[in-house]
Amino acid sequence: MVRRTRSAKRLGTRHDLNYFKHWTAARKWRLAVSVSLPVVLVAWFLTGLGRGDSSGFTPGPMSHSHAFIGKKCESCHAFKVEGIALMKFRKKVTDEACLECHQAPAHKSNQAFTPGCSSCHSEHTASQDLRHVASGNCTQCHAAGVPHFQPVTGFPSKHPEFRPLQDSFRDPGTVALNHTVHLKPIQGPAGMVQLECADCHRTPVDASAGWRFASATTSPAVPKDSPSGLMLPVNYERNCAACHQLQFDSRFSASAPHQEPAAVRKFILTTYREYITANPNELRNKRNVLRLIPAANADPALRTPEQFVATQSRDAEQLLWRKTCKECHQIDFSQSEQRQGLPRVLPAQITTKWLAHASFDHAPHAALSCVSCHVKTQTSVETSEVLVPSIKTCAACHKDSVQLEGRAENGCFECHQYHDWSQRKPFVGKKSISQLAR
Amino acid sequence: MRIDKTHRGWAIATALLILLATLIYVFAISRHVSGAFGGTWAGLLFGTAGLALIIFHNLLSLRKKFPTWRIGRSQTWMRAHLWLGILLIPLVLYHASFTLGGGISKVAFWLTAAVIFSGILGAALQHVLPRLMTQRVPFETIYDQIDRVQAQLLKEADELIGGVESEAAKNGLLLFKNEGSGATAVADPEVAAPFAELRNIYQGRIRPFLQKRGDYGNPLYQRRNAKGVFFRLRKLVPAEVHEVLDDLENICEEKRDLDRQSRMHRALHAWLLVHVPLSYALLALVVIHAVIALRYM
Repeated sequence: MVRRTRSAKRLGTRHDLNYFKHWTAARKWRLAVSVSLPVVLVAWFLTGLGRGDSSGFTPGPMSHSHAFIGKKCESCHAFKVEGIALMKFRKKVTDEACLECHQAPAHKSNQAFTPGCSSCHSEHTASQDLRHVASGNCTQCHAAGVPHFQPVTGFPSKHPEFRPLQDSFRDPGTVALNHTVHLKPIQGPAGMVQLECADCHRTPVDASAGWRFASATTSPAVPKDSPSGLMLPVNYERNCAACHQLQFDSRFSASAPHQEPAAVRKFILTTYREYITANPNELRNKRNVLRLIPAANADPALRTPEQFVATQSRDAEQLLWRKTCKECHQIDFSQSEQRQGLPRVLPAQITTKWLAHASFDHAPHAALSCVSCHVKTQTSVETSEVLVPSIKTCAACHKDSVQLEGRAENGCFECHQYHDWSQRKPFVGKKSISQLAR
Repeated sequence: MRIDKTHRGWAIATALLILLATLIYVFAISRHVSGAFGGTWAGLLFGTAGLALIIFHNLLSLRKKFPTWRIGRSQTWMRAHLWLGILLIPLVLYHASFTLGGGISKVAFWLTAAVIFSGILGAALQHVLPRLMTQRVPFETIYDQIDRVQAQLLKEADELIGGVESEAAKNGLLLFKNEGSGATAVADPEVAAPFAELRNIYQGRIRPFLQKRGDYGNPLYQRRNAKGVFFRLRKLVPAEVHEVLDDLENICEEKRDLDRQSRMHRALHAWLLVHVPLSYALLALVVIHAVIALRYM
């Protein structure tokens, strides 16, 4: 029988000694894919570029506000910086390019340095709003503390307490108000009522809706320059008149006007003159001695209309100055002799904007009940108490980046502005529609 | 390449470089105030180092093409490729500051991930499979020569069967005549039938198995089944033919080894079909990315 032989010679003939010169299928495949894949990828991007679509080359999406010029790179990427031409290759974003379309007032005249626009407003990042700048831009100066400001390195833990809540700061307002009394059932114009916060405090946006306790005769207009996100200052006609009527004599249904003392005096004199003219018999009536008026003279002899008007108006004024007005206002009698017997009502000094260097908007916080933030309101009895929420209240939500679920944004930009918009000047644009839009 | 204690130096150096990169990143990010990180001094540093590494990694294929060039030992190149490839992970992540970017950046990021992942997979396979192949494929040959060796095995088998028939003819015994794919005994059926059965099994099972690469459906593909087939054949044919059957069984064994080697070789090298083309694509994209970034930065 023939047997199989496995001699070295026979085994040696098994292999093609030039095998390495021939390409195997796997090797051919590898080469084909290695060449074609990069070519396809590069061609894909270059084709996009040829079509004018540069999105393949951008490091990230454009912000919403700049998306419309997303295909016109040269709108921002210029060849010049401060008038000096760059190398043809470079296309840097310059401040001049930004300022062609935008106005950007400086921060402070004494600031350490003026950063370039793009160092704070980062385009081509995930941020959809260029106003949302990183807090590091602010803290690079404010971390060390700048004149008149305490060091700030973050929010909330590394941010000082709001200034009105620091030390012995008191509400400068002179109109007396006891929040505790007003938040309990109280005597209203027609029986007991339960006041709501919105009966007295509303933003300009909500001001047009009816006010429950407004004056029946006058309705004050909302000042045009009122900050839209802040509460309107409490106003007598709008918020107090229905309950706190300025009656000075039971014979008249009309109240005294809520104006300066001179105007009040004029109104009272006119009212009494008209009254005595219409009712001359009143001269024979005795005065109502039951009215307990501080410093009133017990003189029953009223012989002439002039005497009637003088006496009655004097009593009415005393009632108003020393009781009705004084219930809320601080009245200064010290110089009344020089002011023809009229007192001086101290300015109300109602603070509308408590955080002088920050902006706040009540609208995004509308879902919250007022007292959930203004906690101290429920127990406040003194006018001088500051009822602004503490930074700890804000920190309950604003404790981290908004990207994290369950947390509200805590960046500096949320409350503070870098640009001093009071320095804003009239701005005239230079671009045409065709230069920007495509 | 087997990763053993000789790699310790490279591993330590890579760990130190990753630590250094991390320290630089932490320092830079603490100073960084806003926006994209890639254009900052640290971002550029990581980007430049990453690009240099990608170029270096792609040069490995050039190094393999010219093995005689005196530019360092192949082993050193492989170790550098392996360990500096791992270094690429933090460099890319730090360069991008853990964001994807857009367009080319995004594609390049995913390509980097795919290249590194396929490379790690390849390194793991190369760590395990060659040793396994040595153990499980005693008749291992040059992969590219498997088809040629397989053809020779078939030829040897044909010669063995042909030898049996010619030996019978020499003894004046015409065992059978071929009819189509089968064989019909023409001699004394008692003598010829076993040989006809051998012939039929050879033509129907053994030869197709030796002819076709893989042939997973054939009973001979499994060693246990093959033993059964040859055991039955031995019971059929006279003892003089048993030695030929032993040789045939050995040829089948060798063919099974070649199949096993093919399978293991494919597992060992398939990742290169992903790793290498993606590496070239990555190189092309990062060069474009670098040029565009420097132009518009």
